Amino acid sequence: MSARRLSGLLRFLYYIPGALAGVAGVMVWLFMLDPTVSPAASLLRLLGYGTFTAAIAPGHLAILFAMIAFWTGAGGWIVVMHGALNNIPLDIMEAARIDGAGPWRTARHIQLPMLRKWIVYMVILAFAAGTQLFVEPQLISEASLGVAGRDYSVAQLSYDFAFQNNNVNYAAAISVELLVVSLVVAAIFVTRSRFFDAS
Amino acid sequence: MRADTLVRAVRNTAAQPRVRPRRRPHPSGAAGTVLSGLVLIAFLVFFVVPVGWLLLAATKTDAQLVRDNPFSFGSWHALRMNWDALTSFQGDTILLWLRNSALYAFLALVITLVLGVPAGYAMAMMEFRGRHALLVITLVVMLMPATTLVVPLFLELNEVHLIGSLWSVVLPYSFYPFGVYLTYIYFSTALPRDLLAAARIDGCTEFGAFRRIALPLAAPIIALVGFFSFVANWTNFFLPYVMLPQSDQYPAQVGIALLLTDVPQFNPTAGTATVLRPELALATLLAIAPVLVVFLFAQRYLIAGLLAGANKE
Repeated sequence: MSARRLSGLLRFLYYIPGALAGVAGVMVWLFMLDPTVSPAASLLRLLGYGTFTAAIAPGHLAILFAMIAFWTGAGGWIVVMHGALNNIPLDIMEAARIDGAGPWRTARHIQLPMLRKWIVYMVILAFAAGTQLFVEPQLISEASLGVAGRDYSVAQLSYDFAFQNNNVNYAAAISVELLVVSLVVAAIFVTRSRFFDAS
Repeated sequence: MRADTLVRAVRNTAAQPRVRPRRRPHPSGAAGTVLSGLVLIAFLVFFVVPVGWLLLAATKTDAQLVRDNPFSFGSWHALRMNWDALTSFQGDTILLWLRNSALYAFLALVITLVLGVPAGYAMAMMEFRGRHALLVITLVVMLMPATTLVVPLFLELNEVHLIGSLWSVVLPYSFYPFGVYLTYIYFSTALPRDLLAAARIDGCTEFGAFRRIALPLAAPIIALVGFFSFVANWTNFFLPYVMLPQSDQYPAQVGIALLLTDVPQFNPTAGTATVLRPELALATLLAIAPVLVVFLFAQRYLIAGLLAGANKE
């Protein structure tokens, strides 16, 4: 198989978990984290988690949610970054090579700086997605034998206020806070990285 | 992946369609090749193993799931048994959920395309009052976190007594500013105005020019908008979870979440109508099957097409 075909195939395979975004991805990871059925059971036991409850202890949740988000989302970003890397003009890459830059130096001084806007864009969207976390903690709390609470994420809290306690005003206040945090963080990244500068 | 990431990619490729010769890989040492190979394989394992495991889990009994090698094939008979058990859960309700998902996503797709594509076209090609304001609003709404809109949407739809009807999810799904913006970018950067002028001189009406010239040229972008709309709506959980109280209205996503609460290994308080783990795995597979099929068909566009950048291999 040619390197080009292999690269395309790998990108497609990395992208497949994107089809399992949402509930399906959580289901898959519930199984992956249950040592009685998981294909990574030996790894889980090696880390000292002999039971499902131990594997999803409250202290692990942040890492687990980050891992699920990475699993479903990274493939798409790999495709995007591949496109962005291909957009770097060939003469710049050529000049770097003639000047004697190896792969590491080219990556560090040419490719990463030229991908800056894409990276900022990815950081903003990934952060925004993280602040909106709902389905993952909601399902984990239903499946966790009482380990994880119903109020892990801000969106869950908003949901509980609006639909369990009939307090729409509190829910709205939480939504506004969420919006403000997302906007402020996006603004910081945009200004610090000179996102809108003409390059 | 968030659909909005494409906006800039589309803008890049649409604005500067250049063709470059293939880039040669930089000659690097054997150590570099081995290292990158290992990284690629590690990622491959991480991304693919859970999907492969899920496919195999549906062919096993619960006992086999615990006892056998995680990567062994169970039997067709066990798959059949799981299917029978799953469909008998509340009498074919899984099929009803899948039908609901398809209905909601398809209706929303039709409305999105019928409204969104002409809207993007009008904002790109026509001058009218409020055009700039509309464009800015589209952008702002596109960047708003969807979760923050669920509560106001609920209140709004409650006001017009649509909660619990299929429109309570289809209408919010059909509101798709990203699709409008994507078509706007395409029409404003890649569609030559001379082409439309020529069509009008040849006697095309304004609508005729849109339908016969602009639409066929924009087919790849329309397909892309349709793809993202369909996948986003099919995998949405929060909105139907809030809007649809009756279990016979659930889409598959909310349905399998309900199944989860009846799996004793994950929820010891599950009632008598228990669901076994392989049945849950099968239900998950059924719920993602349409998206996987769409992925396979859209693969050319997604992987090799638009996103490959200007230096297309």
